[in-house]
Amino acid sequence: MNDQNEKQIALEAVLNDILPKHRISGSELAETIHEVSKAADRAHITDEYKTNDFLEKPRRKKLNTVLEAAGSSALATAGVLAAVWAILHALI
Amino acid sequence: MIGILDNKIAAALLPLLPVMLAAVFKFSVIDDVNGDPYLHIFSNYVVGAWIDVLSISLIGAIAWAYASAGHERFIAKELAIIVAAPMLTLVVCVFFRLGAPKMNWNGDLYVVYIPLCLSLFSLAFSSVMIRELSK
Repeated sequence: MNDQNEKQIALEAVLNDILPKHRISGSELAETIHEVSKAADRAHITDEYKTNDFLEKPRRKKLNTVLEAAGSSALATAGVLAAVWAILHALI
Repeated sequence: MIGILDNKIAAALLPLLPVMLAAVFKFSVIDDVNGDPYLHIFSNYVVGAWIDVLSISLIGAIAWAYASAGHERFIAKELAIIVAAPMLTLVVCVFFRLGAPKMNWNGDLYVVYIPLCLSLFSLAFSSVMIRELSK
């Protein structure tokens, strides 16, 4: 604990030494850090920046995605055609 | 409502909404129907529906490309995957619509229903692939 306190005191001493030279106060430094982090968020510079990794997936996974898309498309097409047929059958 | 969009079948069906709306409005507001209304609907809507459906799938792909323009890499390859189905279908549909009668395949099946079915499939496929690639 004493070691921690000593480190903190040393850090404060360093900051008190540096900040006045750069004519910046502690609150201004905090504000600057806040601004920088907001700008980083706006520019999507974060660790969790999501990119589309479809093309980097293994061939089998890509094929599975395309096959699933084709399957659901076929199902939807069949549904639409069945609905159209049923409506026409009911009307005519 | 947003939950519905997170569904492959919804992704495949929702792009049909503008086609249906446009058809209903045109028939109700603009069309002057003389004679058999069902024949009118068939010859004015069902026969040419494949062009509308294919146009929407290409418009969807272009809209996706613009929306992803800031997304940097690989957009051309992903766009190629999305556009592949509509472009291939366009060639096949043009053959069935214009080439099939020259081969004496004159039935409605070849000239109307197969192009419609293929274009519906390609619209659904490109829409589902847009959903998959936008995750």
